[in-house]
Amino acid sequence: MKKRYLAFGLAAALGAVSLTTAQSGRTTVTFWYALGGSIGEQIEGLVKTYNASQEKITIKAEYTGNYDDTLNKLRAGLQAGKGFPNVVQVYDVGTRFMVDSEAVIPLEDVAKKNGFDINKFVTQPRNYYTVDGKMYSLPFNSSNPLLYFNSKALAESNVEQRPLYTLVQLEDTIKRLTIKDASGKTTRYGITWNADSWFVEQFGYNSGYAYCNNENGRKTRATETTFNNPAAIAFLDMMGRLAKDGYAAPVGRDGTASLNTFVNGQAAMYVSSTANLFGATRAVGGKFPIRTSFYPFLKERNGVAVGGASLWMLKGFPQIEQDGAWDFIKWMVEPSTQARWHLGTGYFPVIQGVTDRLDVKQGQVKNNNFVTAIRQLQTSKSNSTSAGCLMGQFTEIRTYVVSAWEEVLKGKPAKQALEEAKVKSDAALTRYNATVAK
Amino acid sequence: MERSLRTNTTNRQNLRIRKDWLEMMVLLSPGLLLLFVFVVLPTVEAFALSFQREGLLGRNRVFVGLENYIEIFKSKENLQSAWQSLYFAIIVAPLEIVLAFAAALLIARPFPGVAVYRTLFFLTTAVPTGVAAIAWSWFLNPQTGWANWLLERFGLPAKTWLQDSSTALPTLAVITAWAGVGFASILLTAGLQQIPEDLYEAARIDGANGWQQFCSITIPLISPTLFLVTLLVFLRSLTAFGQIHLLTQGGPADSSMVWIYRIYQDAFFNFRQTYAAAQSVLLFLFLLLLALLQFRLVGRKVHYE
Repeated sequence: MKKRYLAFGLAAALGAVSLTTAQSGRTTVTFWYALGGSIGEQIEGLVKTYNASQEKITIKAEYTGNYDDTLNKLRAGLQAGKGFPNVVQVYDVGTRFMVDSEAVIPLEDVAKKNGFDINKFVTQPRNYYTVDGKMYSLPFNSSNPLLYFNSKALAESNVEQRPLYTLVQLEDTIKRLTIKDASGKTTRYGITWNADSWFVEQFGYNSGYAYCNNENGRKTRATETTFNNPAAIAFLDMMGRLAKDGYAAPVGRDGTASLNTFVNGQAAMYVSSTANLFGATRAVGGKFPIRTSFYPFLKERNGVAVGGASLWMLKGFPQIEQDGAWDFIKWMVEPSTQARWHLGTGYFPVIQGVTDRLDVKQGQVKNNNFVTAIRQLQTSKSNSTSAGCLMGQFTEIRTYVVSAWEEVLKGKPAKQALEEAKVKSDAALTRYNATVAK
Repeated sequence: MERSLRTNTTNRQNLRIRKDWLEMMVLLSPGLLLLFVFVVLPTVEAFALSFQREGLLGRNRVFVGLENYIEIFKSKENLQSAWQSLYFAIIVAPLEIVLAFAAALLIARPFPGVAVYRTLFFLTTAVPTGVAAIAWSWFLNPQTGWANWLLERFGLPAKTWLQDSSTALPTLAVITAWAGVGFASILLTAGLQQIPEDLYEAARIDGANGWQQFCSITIPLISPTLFLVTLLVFLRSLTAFGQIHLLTQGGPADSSMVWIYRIYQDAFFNFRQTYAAAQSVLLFLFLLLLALLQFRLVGRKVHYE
């Protein structure tokens, strides 16, 4: 008996989806993507353009829920042995698992065979997706976190925007941007910042601390997490203080609620990926101009890691579909595609030659916030810390870090909360490593 | 002669029974097949899985005996989840029963426009969980929701209902009770309508007031239905999933990580399927035990006609 009965409904649903049908001589290639909202619209637009641009391949793009959902659907499909797509978009922290799954075709090999030069990629995203010396997937949407400001609020509270913030400077700015009425009730929050593990990870990297051992799992496989570092502790303790004293909006984990709080003018600052730049600008409309700054750090700036996701090609399909999948992936990282993608979202280009294009230059002059993430990337130190942690079971470990964040909001000291999360995380990592040991 | 006659009759009877049985099986087979494929097989599979351990993507399965079960009993988190489930059910069940019973009393007897009310009460159950959850999340939004707007009108402090670990689970319990009111009230209405009107008439002639009628006629005669509904509501609230998944995902800080949600999290998020299978076997046994206990303790006191 296979496990398929356990996840019967899911597997059956996925199975129906993967049936590849050739219509009018075109090969159908399925593509799962994990971005909704205004970013999802951009992906659909790209796929439509690609399908119209040639006659051989039809990309059947399916939104499979957020990054977590997509990876989990993929796992269910791989486990059942059917019902997985040709191409899938998997987020940064799924990288170690994807390589360990042995279910993917290393794209560096495919690129070499097809005469595609991988040196054309921007260094950091290329490094991020290089595992055990090989690029397994190609970066498509790369991002880093930014501080967003409501510049009207800045002017009202007479606060000057800085290009760089240490944690102490940031806390001070948030407090000065908060407005409270006579009874002490907050009428405008200084900041809205949803509880998301990514922000803890990036704050650590940017302050010079790795997230897992063995040089962020880059030298050899990570066996232990190291997120209970001074930077993460100081960061979460600050989040606890800001929440308790009414400086930070109570948005919980919800990124959309956080964006809405900023858009409605209920918070002067907002923290999010550069990927939301286009969406946020559109949502704000003419209400106030948005300004952006680099992500904060504890004392000394190291640099942020590349976030976002990459495209993977799965094994187990006929050659004609594999060729189609490669053609599509290649098209998705072409400078013209990346230019449109960059200006339509805020993700920075992953391939060289995009920022020199006229359309990109014009777009960046029109809205110079598009340059912030690129500059942040260019000025980040290149080391194993800013390469980002590579480890298995990252998805599970993230839930423990988010829980720790929420424990701090409840009043627990960050050091204790993070140490408790570390125990659970290390157990999960040990368990994972045992399952892939050779 | 006599003996052979009897044998003959028995044979004919046997034949008859066999024919009946065959007919029954033919008619039942589609239903049984579905039940077998979607209920029996997964249950057996989960049971078998719970004694195994597996590698990445379900590879390299090995039999490990009771190892998963031992790990569950050693884990503080699992015990906490079991407790949270009980706590959740203890809020949901009484609240839902009281609301549903009140609704049932209102709509059991016909009056002009009763159909409108019956529909309204049932609406909470007719609304899909997903829609209800989203509507609730708007209603409870700390900054823009009506719940806090109302509180502030009465001079009460605003609350962060689902974002605060001390209020998340009770809030989810209220939502769950609300969603179940329609279902429970329909069952109770049917029960109330079974009570013969002449009993009330006789009581009125004897001079019993409304309260006395309620205590001496309504309660005893509705008790079998009430008992059944209580059991259903309690067991159902222990397996409530959709609203938790959509609204809190077990958070904040694990405060709504009820048993069933932890199983989901372990099986389909952390991908520890054999471990989750062991947890679900335990939950199954726990629910079975609860049902038996309720039948023994409460069932005896129920008035059956």
